[in-house]
Amino acid sequence: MSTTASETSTATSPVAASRRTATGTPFTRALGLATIAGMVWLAAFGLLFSPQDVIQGESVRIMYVHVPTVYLAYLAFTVTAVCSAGFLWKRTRSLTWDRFAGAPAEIGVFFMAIALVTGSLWGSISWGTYWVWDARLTTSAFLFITYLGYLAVRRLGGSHEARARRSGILGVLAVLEVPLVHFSVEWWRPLHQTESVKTGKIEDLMLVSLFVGIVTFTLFYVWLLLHRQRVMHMEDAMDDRGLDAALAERQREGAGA
Amino acid sequence: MLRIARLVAGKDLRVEWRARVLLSQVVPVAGLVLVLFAFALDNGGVVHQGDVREPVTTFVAPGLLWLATLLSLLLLVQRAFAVESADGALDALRVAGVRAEGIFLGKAAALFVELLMLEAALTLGIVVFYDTRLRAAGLLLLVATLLTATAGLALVGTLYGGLTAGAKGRETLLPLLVFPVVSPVLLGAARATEAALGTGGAAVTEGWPWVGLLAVFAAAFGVAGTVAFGPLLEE
Amino acid sequence: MVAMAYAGKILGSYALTFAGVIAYTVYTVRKGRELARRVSPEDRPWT
Repeated sequence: MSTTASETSTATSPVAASRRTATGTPFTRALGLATIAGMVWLAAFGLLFSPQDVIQGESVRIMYVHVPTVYLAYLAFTVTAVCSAGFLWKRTRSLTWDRFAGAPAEIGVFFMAIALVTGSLWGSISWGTYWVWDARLTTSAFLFITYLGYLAVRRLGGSHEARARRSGILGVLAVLEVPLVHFSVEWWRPLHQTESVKTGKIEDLMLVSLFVGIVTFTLFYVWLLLHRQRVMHMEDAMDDRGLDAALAERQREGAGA
Repeated sequence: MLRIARLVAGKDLRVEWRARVLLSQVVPVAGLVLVLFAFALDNGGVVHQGDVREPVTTFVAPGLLWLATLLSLLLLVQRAFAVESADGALDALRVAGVRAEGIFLGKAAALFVELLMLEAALTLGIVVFYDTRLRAAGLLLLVATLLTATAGLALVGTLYGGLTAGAKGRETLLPLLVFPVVSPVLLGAARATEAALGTGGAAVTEGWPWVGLLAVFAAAFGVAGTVAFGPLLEE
Repeated sequence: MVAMAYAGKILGSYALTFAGVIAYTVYTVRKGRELARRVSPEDRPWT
């Protein structure tokens, strides 16, 4: 009895230890807790406390999740561009920059996809159509596709250096692409959708709800970025070491057969 | 650098001329695309815009001209880099100490010439198939549009072609990367061409701002490509 | 709140957003744990 108990404890303890120290640190744990609290607040404010909008009615509630997600995606893409430049700049060249460019691109693509869906749902209520060829919408859609391509380039294979160089150049080029797309679409369709935050009379509680959303999603973004970057760090380390292990495995298999 | 560019461009064009793929395959495919567009879009409808009445295909002809060009761009870019990566020619050039900027500008110039030939054929195509008439007043605008838009397409195509050269799955990756980037060219070139041809009663003066956009686009990617191509090729 | 106009689309947006947040979190944490088990501690400089 006692031997089995000690056996199981020794068998599980390294696993448990690795769980505690996987990608979390005290800092990210605190961030995670704050995020959870913020999300609950956001749902409560957005769905219950905040009033209807004078013009938009209930549909304004979508804003409290839509605007923070869009903001998060744009923040993420900005970080990707900055960190791409950080890698390409010869004096600061390191794979850490590359991973801090790759992680937010993935986060941005994910949340841009969600934002495009929630945005078109919002549009279907307030404009009566899912999509308009407005510069902001079109640029967002193109950003989504562009970074989808960016992620595909990261998966092309080759050395980590080659991946970092290719994707770094792409990450910087995206900065060139975005204003060109934005302005050309603006010229094409000069009709501008009025921004609800600027024109509509906005109640204090609505502002609070929006603010809670932005803060919460910023915290969540930082949490995700750190964890995702650490996962990528381990993946790269696995790649480096895995190559030797895989070769050894092959040789053993060859010897066995 | 310009001498290298000229040499690379000359080499690419010679390779292309000997293979005759542009004339015997790419141009026919682009022409076929025009026919397919007509099958897809010509439902006998007539578009009224102001006091202008036009068949659907005439009305959308400028857009289709550029859409067909965009599709052909992918074919040409893939060819231009398949030639290089097949026998490690790019590596050989780099080892020989050839400046990457020269390679970039040379390949872009060759692509520019090829695209212009294709567009000339396609312009003839929309005149024949879509009942489009060229007008003397818009001729200068049309030429300016063709030159600026094609420069933008060639530079972007070369840059992204170099980025994906030799990678697995580049056939599907290239359009994913290139189409979002060249979308302003499609938008600007189509509008400017409409103005040049007077499609839907558009005035020639409406086209020039778009040519300005196309020129800015080409300049931006010309600079970006020249700077970026070096780090892209270094190993 | 129950009689909210367009309840389906509004609640759907919230559901999608929060489901996305949760799914991404779970995916990241899981992947981190799985890799942490296979990677030696010196490859995890943050611990």
